[in-house]
Amino acid sequence: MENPTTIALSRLVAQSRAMEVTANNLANADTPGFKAERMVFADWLVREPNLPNADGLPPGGRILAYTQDRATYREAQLGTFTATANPLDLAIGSNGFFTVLTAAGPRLTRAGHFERATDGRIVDGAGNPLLDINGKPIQLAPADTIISVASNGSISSQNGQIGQIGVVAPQDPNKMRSEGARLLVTDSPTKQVFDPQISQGSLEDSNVQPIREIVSMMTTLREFQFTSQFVQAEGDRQQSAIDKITQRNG
Amino acid sequence: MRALDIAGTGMQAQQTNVEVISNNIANLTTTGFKRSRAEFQDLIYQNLRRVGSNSSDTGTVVPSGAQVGLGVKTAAIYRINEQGNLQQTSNSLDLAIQGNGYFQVTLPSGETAYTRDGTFSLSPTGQIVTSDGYVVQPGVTIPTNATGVTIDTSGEVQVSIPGQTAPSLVGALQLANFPNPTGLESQGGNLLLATAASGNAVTGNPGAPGFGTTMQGFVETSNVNVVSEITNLITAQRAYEMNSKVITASDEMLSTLTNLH
Repeated sequence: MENPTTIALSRLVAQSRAMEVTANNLANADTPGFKAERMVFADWLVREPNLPNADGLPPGGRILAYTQDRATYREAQLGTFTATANPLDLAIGSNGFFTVLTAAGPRLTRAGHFERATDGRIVDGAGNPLLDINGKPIQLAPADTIISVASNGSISSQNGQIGQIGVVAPQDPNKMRSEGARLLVTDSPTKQVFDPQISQGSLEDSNVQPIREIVSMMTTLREFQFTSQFVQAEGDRQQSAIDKITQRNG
Repeated sequence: MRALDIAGTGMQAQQTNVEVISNNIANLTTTGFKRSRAEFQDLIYQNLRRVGSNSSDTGTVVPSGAQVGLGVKTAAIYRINEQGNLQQTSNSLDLAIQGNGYFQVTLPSGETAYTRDGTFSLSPTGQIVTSDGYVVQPGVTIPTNATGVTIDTSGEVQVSIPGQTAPSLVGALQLANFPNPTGLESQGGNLLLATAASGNAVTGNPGAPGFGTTMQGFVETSNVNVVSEITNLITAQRAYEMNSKVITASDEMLSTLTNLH
């Protein structure tokens, strides 16, 4: 089996996945609360089978390293805030998440556009209620018309205190899975954020930095082309080897 | 190549964004108009390597999996119910609402629509009607011999009749409020309709707790902020271009592959 082409192929596959991650970041450049995602590549070592064993390996001996796209991670960096003047648009200035109760259970989100449902609960765009620090939906009375939210999540109206919006952080942020619709799910335990720094009347934009994405897009493209040329050259080399062997035999 | 489709969703979303912005700018001088905002959300994710799956027989788990998102979609286009500026017109039947609430208007179909556009006129029978001739509820009729109309901040309509020293009360306008005003459906013609999301209208006199006051001789201008709309437009245009660049780059990757021989 000729290895150079398959190793180059692993690089081509990884590069095309990296392009997908970049495309998704740029497509979501305007999605509130979206965090840019990055790909982690790792080398996947394969030892040549005809070598005696690992210890007997001579210096510079043949280990093959394939590229593997091992993981994606979200950049935790804060997005910029846009003022919307909507009293139930909330942006989190710390590293926590709002909790909303979906049909499939509680989900985390940083997209802070909420509305008031007809039953008085505060819900997100999909109708999932926002939960307070005790994990209960927040209920507004019909007379509560002027809503103010303090930096610590405490929500009140002209008729007094209503509750406190819960902002939680999972113990292991890497264990969150994106579910789409700006929702994240985690299996690791969460704890309340002490000082969530909620800002009322604004939304957190995505933290996608277009310059970085465009640069990574161009790098990915050129590396892809470079690797393809290698595949081409390797193919030509094999072809010429076959030609020479067949000529000698003929 | 998923990147092509992903960038395609990005271009579609930005196109929607530009449409919403252009509608805001087009309605810059529409009385009582509330600007809208397009909000986006990420599409579903494809798990290439699931978070928390085992990476060895000894029970080590993958600390962060490989997930590729599949693009973006429009989550909502919602109205921002911020108060617009009040502009003086000195027309005695121009009313602006300072605060929460909507005027109630009876449509020809008998349905009730809601509006913040208070440029009212009189019908041939003396009723207060909108610029389209729809009756403002509860119907208030101004006597034909009235010389002046005064509408106070609590919506009471008083007229001066020649020969009478004291002005006489002919009726009062009421406002409607909603649990979730963002849930109202835009009908065009400055009119909004109640929906299941907005909840049922709660009517009250202007100035009552939770209701705004009526200001005679003023109209409420749109709450569109030109500067922020133009900057949003520039951002949307550039985002559109960047997504199209991703399509070009993915296309180049594909063409590199097809040129291998």
